[in-house]
Amino acid sequence: MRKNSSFIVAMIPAGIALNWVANSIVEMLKLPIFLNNIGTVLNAVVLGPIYGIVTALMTNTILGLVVRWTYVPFALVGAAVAFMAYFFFKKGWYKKTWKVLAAGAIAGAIGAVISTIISVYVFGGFSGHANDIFTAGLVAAGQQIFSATFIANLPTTIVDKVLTFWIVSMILKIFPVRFLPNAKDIREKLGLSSGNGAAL
Amino acid sequence: MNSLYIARESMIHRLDPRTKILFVLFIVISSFLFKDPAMQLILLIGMFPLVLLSKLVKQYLMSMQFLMLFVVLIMTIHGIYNPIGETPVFEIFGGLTFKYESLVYASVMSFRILVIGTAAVIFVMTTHPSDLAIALMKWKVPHSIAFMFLSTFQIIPIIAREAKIVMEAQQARCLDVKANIFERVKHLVPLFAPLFIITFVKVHQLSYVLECRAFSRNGVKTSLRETKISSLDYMFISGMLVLLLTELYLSFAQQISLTTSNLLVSSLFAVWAVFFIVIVKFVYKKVSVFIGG
Repeated sequence: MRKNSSFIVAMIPAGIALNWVANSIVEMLKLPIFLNNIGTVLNAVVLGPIYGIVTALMTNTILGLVVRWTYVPFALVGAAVAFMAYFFFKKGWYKKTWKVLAAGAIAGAIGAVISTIISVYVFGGFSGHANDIFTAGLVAAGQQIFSATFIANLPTTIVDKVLTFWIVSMILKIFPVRFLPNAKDIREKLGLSSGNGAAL
Repeated sequence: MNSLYIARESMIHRLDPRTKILFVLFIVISSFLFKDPAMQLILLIGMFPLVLLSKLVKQYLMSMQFLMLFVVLIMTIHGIYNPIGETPVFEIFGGLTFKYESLVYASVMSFRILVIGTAAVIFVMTTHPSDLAIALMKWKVPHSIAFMFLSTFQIIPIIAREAKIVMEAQQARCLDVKANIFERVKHLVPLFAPLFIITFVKVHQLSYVLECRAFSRNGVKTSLRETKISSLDYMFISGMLVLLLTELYLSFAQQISLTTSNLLVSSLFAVWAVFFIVIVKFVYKKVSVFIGG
């Protein structure tokens, strides 16, 4: 890893920037999702799980410093997503589209559980997004706080993570992977032939 | 891009970043020590002199607006619906009652958000990111982590500009941003693929530049800005220690409880009033754009 240390040092801020910038692209297409883990997932696949988790933790630290501090506890969600992105990549789930979607759904479900636990114990069930209105409505309709937060969070989180995983896998397939530090690994796990990507 | 840092000539700005990190930790610890809303309120009011000292009252109030949404939701929803509440204190229309125990729970949680928010805002607004990185390096945090932290602030505007260029270029190539939702989801790939490639090009450039400047060599790294611990810092830290010991004594040795139902109801009204002002200001801004524009 010594050889690539400056690549890693430059790649982690770029991952954080991608997490940040994804928001503006989604806004332009007017889609009701965030995609705020896309750089984390990319870094977890390209650099490995530890750097993916570092990206997730630093993203939320920077968000906490620049926007508001309530983002900081949710760093754990990003860390879990980064770990799972690497895990499913290692298992070779990125070869087939339906497996990528399944991996995203699993990651989204686990992420929703973690974010529900955090928001219930730290913020009383609210997380600072527009979803809070649903949570409040569900609580008023007679749900428990925990289940209301979970129900309000689950669909958006799953759709979000499924799309994140799908975009990263699609892009790595058309990407000139020979520029990446673990090109051999990525070719193998994505099921690409060795010539693929070089033509781009 | 700047963080929320605002340059001023003040006592708080002159403190060492490490002192301010300790201050934030102290506030977090003490806000979790107290289970009593009255003590949290005292903590919150006790921090206003620091905001005044840092000469950032207006910016502070602006950034606290966003936390008010949390506070209003938590106070209202938990106050009415939380199952731990038994003793009714205050009734609004339709038989919905605010209960004492659940209001205590809700106000502890929401005052904690405000208290930590205040401390975090004081810290962020008075600390330059470079100073923070230097302070971290003095605490033996690896040099590369401090660099990553700093370069993020530099690289976000670069990537944001590239993203804007990619979006405009793809729209010029007939990418329909008003298609149905499945088409728009498919459009994410042609938008993100060039952005990823540009990002990798930038990352490679940056890593060559870093290597040219002997980034991964061992040795002492120097920097342009300097931070020093002065007598002011020692005074601040010793003051915090005294306060922390007092808080520990108060919360463990003596079970004091200053909370009354009057306090809870009036803080509920205060929160609603502040939120109402924020909403009115927001609506006024939106409407005045329509009228003035």
